[in-house]
Amino acid sequence: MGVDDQTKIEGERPTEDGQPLAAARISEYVSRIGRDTIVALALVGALGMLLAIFGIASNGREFIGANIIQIVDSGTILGVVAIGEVIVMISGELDISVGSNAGLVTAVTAEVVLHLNGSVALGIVAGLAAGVLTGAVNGFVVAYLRISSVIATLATFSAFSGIALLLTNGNPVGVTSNFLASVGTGTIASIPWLVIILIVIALVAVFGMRFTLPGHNVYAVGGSAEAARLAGIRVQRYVLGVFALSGFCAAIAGIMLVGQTGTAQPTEGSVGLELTAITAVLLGGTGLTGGTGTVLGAFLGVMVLSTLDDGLLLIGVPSFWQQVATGALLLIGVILQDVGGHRARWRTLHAARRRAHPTDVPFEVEGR
Amino acid sequence: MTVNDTQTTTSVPRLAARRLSKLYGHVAALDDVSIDFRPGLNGIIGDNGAGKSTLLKILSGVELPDEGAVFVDGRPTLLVSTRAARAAGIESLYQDLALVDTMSIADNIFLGRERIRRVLGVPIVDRRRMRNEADAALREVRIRMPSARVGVRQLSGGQRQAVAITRAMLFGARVVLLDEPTAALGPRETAAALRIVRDMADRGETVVMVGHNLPQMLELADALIVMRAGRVVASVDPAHTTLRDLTDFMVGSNA
Ligand SMILES: Nc1ncnc2c1ncn2[C@@H]1O[C@H](COP(=O)(O)OP(=O)(O)O)[C@@H](O)[C@H]1O
Ligand SMILES: [Mg+2]
Repeated sequence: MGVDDQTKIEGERPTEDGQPLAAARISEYVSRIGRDTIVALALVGALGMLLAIFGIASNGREFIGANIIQIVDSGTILGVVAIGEVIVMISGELDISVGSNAGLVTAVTAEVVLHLNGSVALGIVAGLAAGVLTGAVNGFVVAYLRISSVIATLATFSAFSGIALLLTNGNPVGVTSNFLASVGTGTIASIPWLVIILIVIALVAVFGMRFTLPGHNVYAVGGSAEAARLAGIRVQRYVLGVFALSGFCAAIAGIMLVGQTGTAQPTEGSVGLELTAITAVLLGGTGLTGGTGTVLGAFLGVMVLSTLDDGLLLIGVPSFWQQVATGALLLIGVILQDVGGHRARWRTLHAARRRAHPTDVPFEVEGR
Repeated sequence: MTVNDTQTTTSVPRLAARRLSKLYGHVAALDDVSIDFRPGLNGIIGDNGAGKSTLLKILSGVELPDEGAVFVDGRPTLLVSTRAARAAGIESLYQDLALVDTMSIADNIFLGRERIRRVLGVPIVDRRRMRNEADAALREVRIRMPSARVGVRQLSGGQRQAVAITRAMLFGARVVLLDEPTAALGPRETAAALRIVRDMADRGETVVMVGHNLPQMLELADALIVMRAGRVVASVDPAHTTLRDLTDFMVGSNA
């Protein structure tokens, strides 16, 4: 055993507080730079790599420049849903109903427009109200009736879709509105309106979660609802609030969908969003246990997913493979995110083994 | 059985329990309990199930009594929630140390009372100020601690204890309640935590501490209360009490 090894083992010796130095050093390093920053940088790197690979594979240099807006554009509806979802997940809950909620909102909006002399403004207001209300129902059931959010939103997922189908008799409903059509498909300075809406919502959400007191408290509630409650934070209101917010985001997504397609589809294009949104959130470094993660990470997760989809489509890979790729990406991403933890555990274990190895350590007659 | 010396008994106690009773099903966890708590270290001892934790839960607003009332500075005070207790100047450290593992030391110290800056009416969390004030307060409790921006997940039991106590101190709590604060600590950490508690009592705060180590409580406390089966069986001055007296009170052989 060389001198280097010797000093390394010395370095692994627990400090006074019983923490192995190396593990402490890694975790201190991570906490200084911030795990969130590392995840964000990694996602930006992954995004750059995907763009480069698809750019080369498609023999088109234009892929990167021209398609970046298109990529953001194809992820707008998913992005808005994912922003609501990430806030719910930071609070330690899960919202499975967002996709079917968005579908319900398209149905409500369309029905109101149809039956109230084509008033689009009323349709939008009714759609937003429906989204917030359904979100609040989720929140109420979870926060006050203390039903697990997975079960509660699984139930409302089913119920909201059913209501949407009832409202529309299961048929797509056409919505003729110049306003919605121009928001859904139009651009300003060659940037699609939907992209602008997503960016604005993302900026507000990043700011709200990162800097404001309510955002801070959502992290506290997700980290330990019990500690937050004992500290006087009104946990139930926060849980209700994040679900209402998620419902609001789903409503915006639903209205964007109406604008984009010109129809209200009770389930088409909306149901299924919840799983992709949760995938993006997990990819973005937010766990299932609450208290960690960022809105920015979820946003970047959405961008990575839509780049993957668009890129594979562009180079002609069958869409079945896109799903395989999405799954693989999620697994790799989540495993990589825990590499710091694995490494620290491995090094501690390794050092302990070496110390305990009978031939490495001379038997000491005197005690410690 | 001696009561507190006369000069303190004449003043209004900082915190007082009057005729508190609490039933859990058929179990009388508390049965007509009246106690005065004054500045200094008030120790509470008693066997498992004596009702110590129940008493502290009522005093900290976690539970409501079935009967009786709590008085703060002589005024009846309804402690319907931990929030209400805090508003009355009562801080608690719970047996399992209610900290948010995913947050930093500073965030935990200021949990529920964040330092805020308002920008256009929006409450912005002033992290830098919280870090600075937390670092300063941690220096005051004289326990070895990393910077306040480190996550509490990485702390040892003693350091977590110090964070929780610092939190109580920093907000000028008039009464601090501790339920077996050293239960999960090693010997070195226990010594450090008890030193902080003693410092706090010496600064004139009213500290109420439940403990199970009788010699330690006898040495440390300014006043000792012995509970058994939901009742207060003795209220003694530790300076004039022996270990033997305490165990007798606890098992009831001289009641
Ligand atoms: N939440 C509860 N539900 C039912 N019984 C309880 C509850 N809390 C305490 N008790 C009972 O009340 C009595 C006093 O408990 P506790 O105050 O925890 O005692 P101590 O802290 O002195 O050990 C015990 O008999 C206990 O079993
Ligand atoms: Mg107890």
